[in-house]
Amino acid sequence: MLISILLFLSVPIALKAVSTTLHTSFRDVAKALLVSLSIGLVLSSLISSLVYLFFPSFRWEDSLFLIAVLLTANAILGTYIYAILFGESYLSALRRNMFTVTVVTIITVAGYVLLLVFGLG
Amino acid sequence: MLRRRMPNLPALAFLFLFSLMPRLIWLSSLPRPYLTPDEIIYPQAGRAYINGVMHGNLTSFRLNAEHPPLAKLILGTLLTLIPSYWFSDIDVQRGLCAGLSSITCVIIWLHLKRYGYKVALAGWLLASIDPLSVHYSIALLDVAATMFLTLSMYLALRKECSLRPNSIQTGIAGGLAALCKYSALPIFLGTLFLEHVFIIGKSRKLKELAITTFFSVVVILVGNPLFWPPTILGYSGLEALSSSSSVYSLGPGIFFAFDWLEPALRSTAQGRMVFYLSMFFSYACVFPFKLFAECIVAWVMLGCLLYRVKERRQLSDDQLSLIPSVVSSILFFWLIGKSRIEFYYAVMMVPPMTLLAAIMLPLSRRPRSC
Repeated sequence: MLISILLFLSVPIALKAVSTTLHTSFRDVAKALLVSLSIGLVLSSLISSLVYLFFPSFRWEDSLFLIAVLLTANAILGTYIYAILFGESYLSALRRNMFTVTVVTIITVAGYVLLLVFGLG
Repeated sequence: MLRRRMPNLPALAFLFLFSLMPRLIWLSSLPRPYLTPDEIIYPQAGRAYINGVMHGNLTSFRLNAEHPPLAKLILGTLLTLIPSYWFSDIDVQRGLCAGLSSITCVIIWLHLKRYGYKVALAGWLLASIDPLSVHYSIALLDVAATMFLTLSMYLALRKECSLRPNSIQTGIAGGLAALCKYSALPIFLGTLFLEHVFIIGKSRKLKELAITTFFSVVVILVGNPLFWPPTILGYSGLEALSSSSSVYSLGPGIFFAFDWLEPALRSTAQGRMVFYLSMFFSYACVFPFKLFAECIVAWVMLGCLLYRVKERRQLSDDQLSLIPSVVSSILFFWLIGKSRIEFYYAVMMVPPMTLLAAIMLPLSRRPRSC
C-alpha cells in the first residue's frame, strides 16, 4: 500500500510544481488531469465492454502490449475531448497532462526508492 | 421572495411505483439467497442491532463491523415491524432494496424538474429502466448509500434556488450515505473538493465546504457506535472495525489498484514479476466496470459528450456542476482494487451519469428561475 500512498501524496505536489513551472493556475492543471483521466477511463470501459461482449474469454492481464496501446489512445482521446468540452487548447492541455504524469511518476518512484534505501519500505 | 413549490405527491407516488416494478420483478425472479453472504448476514445483523439498541447492549455492533450500520438498522427495523410469517427476511430485504433504488429515481426526477418535464422524464426513465441499476438493486448497502448520495447532490445543487445555502443538509445527507457504506464518504468528499476546484465562478465558499464536511463527519461519528469511546461501548469499536476490515483487501497488501506495483518491484523471480506487472497494468489502465455491456445510461452520456465534441460545443454551467460527482465516482472506483471483483459497486455511478446525460440531451432548456 506504500506506493499507492506515495502516489496519492505526490499528485498535489506535482500539480503545484507543474502549475508553477507553466505559470498556470493549480485549478486548471488539476481540472485538465482529472477530467481527461476520467474520460479516458470511460473510454477504456467502453473498449473493455466491447471486448467482453465479443470475446468473453479475453484476459487483459495476458496482453501487456494491448494495454499500453489502450492507455496511450485513451490518454490522447480523453485529453482531446476534455479540451473541446472545456474550451481549451488541445496541445497545451495534452502537454500539461503529460508533464504532470511525468512529474508524479518521478516523485513517486524517487520516494519509493528512498524509502527502500533507508529500509522503511 | 422565494416560494418553494410543494411536490405533487400522487405524481411522485406514481413515479416511485413505476420505478419499483422492474426492480421487484427482477429481484423476485432471483434464487434465494442470491447475493451471498450479504443476503444472509444483513438481516441477522439488522435484527441484532435493533435488539441491542432496545436492550442497551451495543456489543451486537461487532457483528459485520466492516460495514457501517444505517442500512442494516433500517432493515432490522422493518424486520421487527413486519411479522415473519408474512414475508421471509430475504423478501423484506429485497423489498427495501427495490424501494431505496426507486426513491433514487424519484430524487433524480426532482433534481431534473427545473430543466423541464421532458428532461426530468428522460432522466427518471433512464434511471428506472437502466439494466445495471435494476440488476444491482440487490446490493442493500450500495443502493442505500446511492440514495443518500443522490439526495446530497440534489440538496447541494438546489442551493441556487434558495436564499440560504444547504451546506448543513448536504453534509447530513453525505454523512448518512457514509453510514450506509464507507465508500460513499470519499466519493462525497471528492465531489465537494472537485466542485471547489472546478467551478471557479460559482464555487462554494471555503466556509460552506468546511460546514458541509464538518456535518458529514459529525453524522458519521454520532451514527456509528463503533466510533464511540470504549467507556460507553464496553469494547474498542475501532479494533473491531480494523479486524473486520481485511475483507477490503484483495490479498496481502493489495487494496488500491497501484498496490500491484509494489510486489512487482520487490519480486526477484522473473515469472512472478511479469505476473504482478501485468496485474498492475491491467488494473491501472482498464476501468474495473464493463459499464457499456449493461448500462444504457453510460451509452447515452458518452453519446451526448461525443456529439458535443463533434459540434465543438463547450459544457454549460449546469452540466459543469455535475462533472465533479461523475469524476469523483469514476476515479474512486478506478483506484479501489476490490471494484474488480464486486461489480455491483457500479450502481453508485448511475445517478450522477444519469443526471449529466439527461441535461445534455437535446430536450434540455434553460433551468427555470426560482
